[in-house]
Formats: sequence, C-alpha cells, structure tokens
Amino acid sequence: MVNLFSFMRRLWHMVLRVFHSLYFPPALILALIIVGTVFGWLAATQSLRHDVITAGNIHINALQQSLSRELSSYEQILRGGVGLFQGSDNVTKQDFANYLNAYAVHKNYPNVQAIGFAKVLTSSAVADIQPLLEAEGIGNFELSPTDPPRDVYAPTLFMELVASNVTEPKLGFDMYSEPTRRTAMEQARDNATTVITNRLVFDSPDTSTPPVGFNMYTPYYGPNIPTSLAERQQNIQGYMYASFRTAVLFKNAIEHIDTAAIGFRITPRGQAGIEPLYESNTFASIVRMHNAARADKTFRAYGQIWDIQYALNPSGLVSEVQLRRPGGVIFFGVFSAILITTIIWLLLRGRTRALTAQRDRAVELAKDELLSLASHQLRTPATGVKQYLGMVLQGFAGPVSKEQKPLLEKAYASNDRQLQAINEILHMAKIDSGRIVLARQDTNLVELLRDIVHEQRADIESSEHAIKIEVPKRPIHLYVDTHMLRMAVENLLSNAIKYTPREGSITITMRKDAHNVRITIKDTGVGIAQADFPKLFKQFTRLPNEMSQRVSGTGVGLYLAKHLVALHHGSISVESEPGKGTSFTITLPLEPNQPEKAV
Amino acid sequence: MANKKPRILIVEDEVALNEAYQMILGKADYVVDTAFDGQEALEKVHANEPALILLDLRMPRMDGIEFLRHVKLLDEHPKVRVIIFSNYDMQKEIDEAYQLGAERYILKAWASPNELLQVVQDTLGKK
Repeated sequence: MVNLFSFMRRLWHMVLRVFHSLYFPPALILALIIVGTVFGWLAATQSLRHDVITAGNIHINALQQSLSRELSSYEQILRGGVGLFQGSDNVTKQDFANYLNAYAVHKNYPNVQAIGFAKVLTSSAVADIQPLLEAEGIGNFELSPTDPPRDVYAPTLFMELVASNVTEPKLGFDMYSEPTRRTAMEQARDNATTVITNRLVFDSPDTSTPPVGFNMYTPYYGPNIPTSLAERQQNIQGYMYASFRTAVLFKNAIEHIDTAAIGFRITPRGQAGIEPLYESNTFASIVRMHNAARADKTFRAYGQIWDIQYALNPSGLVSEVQLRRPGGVIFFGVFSAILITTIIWLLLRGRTRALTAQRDRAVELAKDELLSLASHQLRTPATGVKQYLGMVLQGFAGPVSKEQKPLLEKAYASNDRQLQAINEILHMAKIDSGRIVLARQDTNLVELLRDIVHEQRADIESSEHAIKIEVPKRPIHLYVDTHMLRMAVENLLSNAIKYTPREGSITITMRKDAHNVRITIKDTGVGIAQADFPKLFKQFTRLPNEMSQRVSGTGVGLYLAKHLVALHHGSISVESEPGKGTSFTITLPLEPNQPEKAV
Repeated sequence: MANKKPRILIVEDEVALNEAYQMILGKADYVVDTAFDGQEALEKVHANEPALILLDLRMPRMDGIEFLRHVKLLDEHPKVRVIIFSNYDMQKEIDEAYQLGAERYILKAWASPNELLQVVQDTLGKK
C-alpha cells in the first residue's frame, strides 16, 4: 500500500517534470500536427479511393452492360432456333444451316464457339435413331457415351461450329450425360427459360490448357409452351444451345475498357472451390499495386450469378493531382511539423535564456547592492571618527599640544587603516564575483608613481627609511584604471614600508621596453622564504615573521594587487631572500593598455 | 571680508557627520543650512537657494537620488552646484546622480576636514 502510494507519487512527479520541460510544448505541437497529418492523409486516401471507385464504376457499368447485350443477342438466336423447330415438323440439317446463315453468325457473332440443337430422346428412340438421321440429312452421328444405358438422352443433332473452319462437326454427344450441363438444361426445361451452365471445361486436343467456358440452353417443347411444370417435363423435345469460351467472349467485352486501369475476375457463385470462369490478364498485377482499389459486383444472367471482382488502378482512372494529394498531405504535414516545432522550440529556448539571463542580472545587482550597503554601513561610523579627529588634528578646535599630536595622529592613521580594510574587503568581494569593470583612462604612470610615494611619505619618514625613486624623465602613458592600479602599487609600497625594519632602504624603479612597463619595489626587509611564495597571493593569508605582530593588515593586500594587475593583463613577480629583502615587480603589457592616439 | 560667503546646504542623515560638516564649513565662514533627509532638503532649497549642496545618497524618507529628481536641478536651479558626498558606492546610483545634475562624487570616508574644504572651495571656484 505504502509502496503503491510512493510509486504513484514518483509517477506524478515524473509527469510534472515532463510538463515543465522545455521540450514539452514543441513535442505536444509536433504530436498534434502529426496526428492531424495522419487524419488528413486518411481523409485524402479515402477521398482518392472514392474518386477511383466512382471513375471505375463508369467502366464497370459499361463492361457489364456490354456483356448483358452480348449474351442477350445470343439468346435471340437460340429463341429464333426454337421458333424454327416450332414452325416445322421436320427440320433438316440444311434448314438449320440456312437459319444460322440468315443471321450471318460467322460474321456478326464471332465470339460464340458453336450453336446447336440437342434432341431429347428416350432409350427406345435412341436405339431406333437411324431413320431420323436419314430423314434430316445427318451423316456423322455417333452417340456418346453409350455406357451405361440410360432412360433418356439429349444428344446433339445439329451443330454449327462458328469459331472454327470445321464444316462437319461430330454429332451425338449426349448432353444429359454430363451433370453440369444437365443441371442447367433441366432448370431451363422446368422454368421455360434460357439458362447458362456453370463453369465447363471443354475437350480440346490442340491446347495444353483446356478451354473454359459455359453453355447457354433454351428449351423446346413443341408447338406450344406448356404452362405446368409436369407438362414441361413431359413435353420437352430438345434444346437450342450455344457454347462459349470465356477467353474469346470476354476478350470482346473488354475491348471497350482500359485494361491498364481495370482488371477483373469472374467466378460463378454457388460452386464451392470452383476456379474462376475468367480472369483478365491485368487483374493480378493491379491487385498487387499498393494503392489499388477493389470493387465487388454481382452479375445476374440466365439463371446464373457471377461474382465479379474488379481491381482498379488509380493512375489509370484519376488525374495526377488527385493521385498526389495523400502524398502531398504527408509532405506538407511533416514539413510544417518540423518547421513549426523548430520555431516554437527556438522561441521558447530564447525566451527561457532571456529569463535566466534577466534573473542572473537581478541576482548580480542584488549582490552588488548588498556589498555596497554593507560597506556603507561600516564606513559611516568610521567616517565620523575621521572627521572629528581630523578637526582636532587640523586645528579646528584650537592649537594641539606637542604631546597630543602624535596620539591624535596614531588614532587618525588607525582610523584610516580601518577604512582601507573595509575598502579592500569590498574590492576583494567584487573581484571574487568577477564584477569589477575597469574604468580606463589615459594615465601618466610616472606621475602616478610619484603621487603614490608622496602620499605615503609620512609613513616612510616615520619609519626613517631611505627611499630612492628611479623613473624615466619622460612621461609613460598607459590606458589604465588609475584608481585600481594605484591601489595595487600602494599595497606593494605599504608592505615594503611595513616589513622593513627601521632605517631600511626602499628602491622604486620604473622601466619601459618595447612591450612592457615594469614597476619594481625593492626593500631591505625581512624577506620571504621560497617555500612561502605560493601562499603569498592568497587572500586572508599573513606570513608569520618578526614584523608581522607589530604590523596590522587584513591579509588581502597582495591578493587584491595581483588581481587588479591581472585585470590589466599584467602580472606580479617576486624575488626574495629571508633577512636580505624582497623585490616585487609589476609587469604591465603596453599592448592592451595603450591609450588611443590623439587625432 | 566684504562679500558674504556662499550658502551651502548639508544634506546628511548621520547626526554626528552633519554636525561635523557644519563645524568645518562654519569655521570657514560659509553660510550653512542643514537637512537630515531629501524631503527636508527640498524645503530648504525652495526657501533659500544655496550655492552648493553636499548631498548624501542613502537617507530615510527621501534619498539623494529622489531628491535630485524632485528638485529638478538642471531646469529650476541651474546655478546650484551639487557634490555627492556619500559612503555608498553603487555605480548605478552614482551614474544616475551625474545624469540628474551632480558634478562630483566623493567617498566621504576618504575626505579629511581640510580635504572637504578644498573640494568645496574648488567646486565653487569653478564656473
């Protein structure tokens, strides 16, 4: 229970994190556009399919109508044949041939294989058929099959082969002996109508694949068509029939359609596992196309139901523009998804960066303000001391006695150091947070150095040091932050004064070469051990020596000096020998500190 | 001296410092007015226009920058000189003070009484 709870909580936090992520809004937009694109693509595909089927239906209807017309024209011939038998008791082979010649079937109906007449005969009539054959002028009749003996037969008595040159076809095949034919014949007989058989496979000696087709039967009952089923079964005399090979028949029908655009397959219904009656030669290849559309139709004719499967090739049925629409939707969807997502992401990232930068700036400013406030608070009381001591010392309150003067001066100096310390710590804090910006100005270094020495003259005199200044006669101008550089040099000089025993000597030199200005402050003080050099420029570090207990300091002076010089791209080096003295050298490169040339 | 010395307005909230500056400038025969915040300073400026204002920045009620904004120094008192005399060294505020018409900024902690007199004298001497 507890585990489930904590799991749910973790899950919730994960969800929250995802929602707050910078990637979430663009990802959401991307997902929405992609979903939209998929729906658009589906709609475009469906619309294309609809267009294809609409266009295909026009062809399909034309095809099926042409098939209906064709079959119905053959039925007319069969019905005409039945009329021939009705009008004459004794139709001869010649009469039959004359009848078909009148229709010019060879010329006008070339798609039928054969047209003929099968006569219904009892077993006794079959046994005594010879006189009949002679009366009707029939020569090459041979009943087949003969075994086993049957009650009723329906052998072909007349036959005209339309699609071949054979003039004397073999007669006598009993059509009742074959179940598919007989089923259709009996259906035609019982309903007094023309009926088409199911799929037939014809005998053919000259092709390896036997031709497929069907027969069409129209019943003949004698002069009148009986009205009752019993009478029809009783009175049936024979059948006019036509034989079709589908390969020939449909070849004619499909001449009206674009076979590259439409393929079809016809299967008679009701015969499980039956092979197709016909399959157009493009059907299989169109079905395999990725964008093929399908349409299933039924065709009813003469007692048969044919299932016709159509395969529609879109590129043969609709325009190029219509075809490209689904692809276009995908292309523009993906294109705009990438574009919009990228733009949103860039905008968001820019905004986030701007906000972060703004916050950082606010934090920096608050830090600066805090530092300034803190140093203000520390300085103010010390300033009060300075003013009042100053007034007494500078005679504002009347003359100062000889005994009082040094005491007041010590107090004044001490107050000065306090203010100095506050200032140094403030600057150190600013350097540490990288917030010192140099206010460079054209500065004469020679003058600056003299000024610094002059300022500290009181301390030098009180410690009775001999001071030597070796500077060039000509001014050296650099573009530096005078205040900051002064602080650095002051620190070094003040250290030299402080850490040199009384009556020592301090030498200050300044030299300029092609690339640098060097300021060296050399003393004869306590010196620094080599091992202590690394600690020298660290903040709040004061090296213990014989003077350090009598000398006050915050331990930030050298740290500050080093960084202030570094801000000017310069460096401070040190040479020292304990007991002999120390020499600090500030090296300032001319290059980045060169004043702008006056015009 | 035949001519009366110029009037100086000291604006300083720290009583001890305010009094110290009064004494220092008074000894030098300047006519001294005092105010302990910007609000009071505004009244004093309107009552008696000084030749020079020693202006602290951080003060209660109305600070130095706000005082400069209200007094519209550049428009309404073009002759008045202003020295920012403060221990507050926020560069942003110093820059703003210069924009509002102050002509010098001095960190109070560095100026001894004599140096203060020197600065005042220099500023008034300049035209």
